Amino acid sequence: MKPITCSVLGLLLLAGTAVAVAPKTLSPVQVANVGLMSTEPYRFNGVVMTDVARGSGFVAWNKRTFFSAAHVVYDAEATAGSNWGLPPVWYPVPYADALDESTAIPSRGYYRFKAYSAIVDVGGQTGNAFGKDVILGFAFKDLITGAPATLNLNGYKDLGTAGTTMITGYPAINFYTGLPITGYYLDQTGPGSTPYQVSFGRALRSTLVTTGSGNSGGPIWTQKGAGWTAAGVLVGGRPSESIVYSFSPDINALTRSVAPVVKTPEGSPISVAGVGATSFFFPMVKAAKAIPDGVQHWTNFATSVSRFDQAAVVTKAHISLNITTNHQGDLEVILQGPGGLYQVLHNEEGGATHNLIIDDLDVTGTFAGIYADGGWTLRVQDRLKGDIATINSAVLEVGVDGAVPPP
Amino acid sequence: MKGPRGVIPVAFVCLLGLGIWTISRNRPLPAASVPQPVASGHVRPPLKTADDEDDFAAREKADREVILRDWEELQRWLHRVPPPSPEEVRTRLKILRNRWAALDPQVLAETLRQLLDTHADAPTGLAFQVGVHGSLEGWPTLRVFLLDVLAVSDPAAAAEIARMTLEKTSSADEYAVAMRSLTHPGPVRANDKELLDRFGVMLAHAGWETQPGFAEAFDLPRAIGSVDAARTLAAWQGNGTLRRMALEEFAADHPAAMVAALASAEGAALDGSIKADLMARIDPVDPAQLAAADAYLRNPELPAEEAAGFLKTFPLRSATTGDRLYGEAPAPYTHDGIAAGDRAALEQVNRWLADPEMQRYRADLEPLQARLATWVDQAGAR
Repeated sequence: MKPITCSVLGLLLLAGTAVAVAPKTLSPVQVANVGLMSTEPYRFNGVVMTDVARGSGFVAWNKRTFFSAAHVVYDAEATAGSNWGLPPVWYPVPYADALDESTAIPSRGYYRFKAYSAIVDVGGQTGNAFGKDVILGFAFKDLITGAPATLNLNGYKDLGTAGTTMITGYPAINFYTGLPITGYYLDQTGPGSTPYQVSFGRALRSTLVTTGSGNSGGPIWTQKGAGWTAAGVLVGGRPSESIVYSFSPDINALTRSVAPVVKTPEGSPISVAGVGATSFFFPMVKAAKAIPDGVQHWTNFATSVSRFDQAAVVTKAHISLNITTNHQGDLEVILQGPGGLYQVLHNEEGGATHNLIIDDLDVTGTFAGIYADGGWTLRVQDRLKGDIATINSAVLEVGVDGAVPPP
Repeated sequence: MKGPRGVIPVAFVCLLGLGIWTISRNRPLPAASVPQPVASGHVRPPLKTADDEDDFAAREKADREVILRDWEELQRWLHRVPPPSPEEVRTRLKILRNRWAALDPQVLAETLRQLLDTHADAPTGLAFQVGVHGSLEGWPTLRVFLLDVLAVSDPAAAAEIARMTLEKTSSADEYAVAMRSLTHPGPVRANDKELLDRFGVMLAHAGWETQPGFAEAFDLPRAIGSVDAARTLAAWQGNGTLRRMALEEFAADHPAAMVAALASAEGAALDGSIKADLMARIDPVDPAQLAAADAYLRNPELPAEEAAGFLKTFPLRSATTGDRLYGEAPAPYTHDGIAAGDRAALEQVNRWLADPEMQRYRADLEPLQARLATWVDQAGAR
């Protein structure tokens, strides 16, 4: 493996000569001693190595996942061969002249965050490093001892304030001085309290913070009390500037996709607010209600489902309901899930059969794979006059499996 | 009304029901008109009795007035000086979508149709952005917003209005969002042929290729999942990056269909590096897909570079993801699925290494064998 330091996309304007005066910006400084490497937030860091590039990364959200910058691991400019390359190798918290191969953990792959519309962006701002230049790598082995770093999904707001922030990583050069940084010693840039400004979308920039290539993919931390939370990923810079992709709830699209790969054995219970459960029941009808007779319009019973983890997708959806009527054929009933997906539960079948009882009907086939949280609505019509239908109860059961990181 | 139970009354009721059903599903919607402002502070009247059709009509009228009043106020608010910030617009539109989605879905669909027919529109200052469940987080225009809300209204009416929009619109963003109402599984979901035909119309539309809606609609082949959908993608000669990402997301979700598409003329014409990545996404647990990969690698005409690309990434489990317009964010792989695939792939690599015919690939096969052995060990250790 012959690593080449990954230059930061399009912005590498190295200083021609080294400067001896104190830098005007916050610049990378080697973490003081190896003893700190087992403390937070340093212990979350690592080197991300591919067959062609070197970058930084950090273990967050799950012990088996690491964040880095997409341009470190994905070669968007490849003219021949795969853009994907080999899955990157993770080196946990190096602090030495050379990487220790015995500590290397090959990842199994990564998810690259990308919107189709970024590809055709005529301004080019979302399609490059300053769009969603972030990946979430995954391994079949723990990448860290102890709990992973916590994501700050409010990072895009917090970084805009004068709160305390810090960038860590493994730069191979100091952009400000132009001097090379030898070895694999963790550097920190900060702590500081410089507010970042919006560059584009969730990409934020600061002209008072400097890092260096090789630091790409490293975290920017926000201080919360005595601890640090991961608020974004360093994606670009130059001698007078650093650019980070800041975290927001958008990042949930990444964690949702990776969740089925790193979760504990499939089918294991999900932990919701500390309570182990595989499904929850949601009453959709709070009190018996007569359905307007012979009026071809829906009567709606809406339920907002918000008990699950962001990553949790529906693996079980069952519906039970009880409608009193003398003519089942009058009724049309549908269940509509988040985003508009729906299933017809009853479509005027049954003619004069009394009462419509649906007992634990499995509708998983329609709703499997969608995120469980969101608005669910039961819609009922009594389409023919002459028999009053009363809905007495309706209960939706939504189940997910272990698609969340362990606490 | 339905009277004594018997054959004739039952037949009568059936005919009556069919008639009402037909009328209901085909009844004319309100004629297009310019939304009229309504008095502020209007409150929906409660229903007095369940079967009071007049009250029900009053409620519908109130719902319609809520939407029309919101729409009028929204347009005035967007034109205020100074104009609202993009984040203020986003917040207001999200609130409005939730508020409207809680109203009667048929009234909502009909009123949205009425508003769309007026062709009233305004830019919002927001970029086109897809969010969770395929619902938008950013609506570049108010008409795109209306079409986004349409997808959570009455499914049958939404599909009908979406089709009308698809026939008329000159906006790629509107076209892409309107198609969402045809993709929801269920009785009114458009069939694969219609969806693919409409996708083809979009691909051929001059001037749309750089529009965000056009790009986001490339999630449609994945939502369809058929061999024909993959072939259509492969045949398209437009933006190569867009095509490649869509092909890869398709292959990750539907590897068997992609294998079949690669065997077609359209698939065969793809660039070698793309074919290598797509073939590397097969599920090795499926004997048919594994046999296809074996035949692919044994093909004496396979360029060495393409073979090396395949053996470098096989089984390729890195992927793109993000919120998508016609389904949830791609999550095609699971821990157990990858682990089983790696075990099957390792067995196949061992067979290739033992096969004299495959010795030309030894330099690539041995590192692949080592990688797979590591991953199998890791997965086995949990």
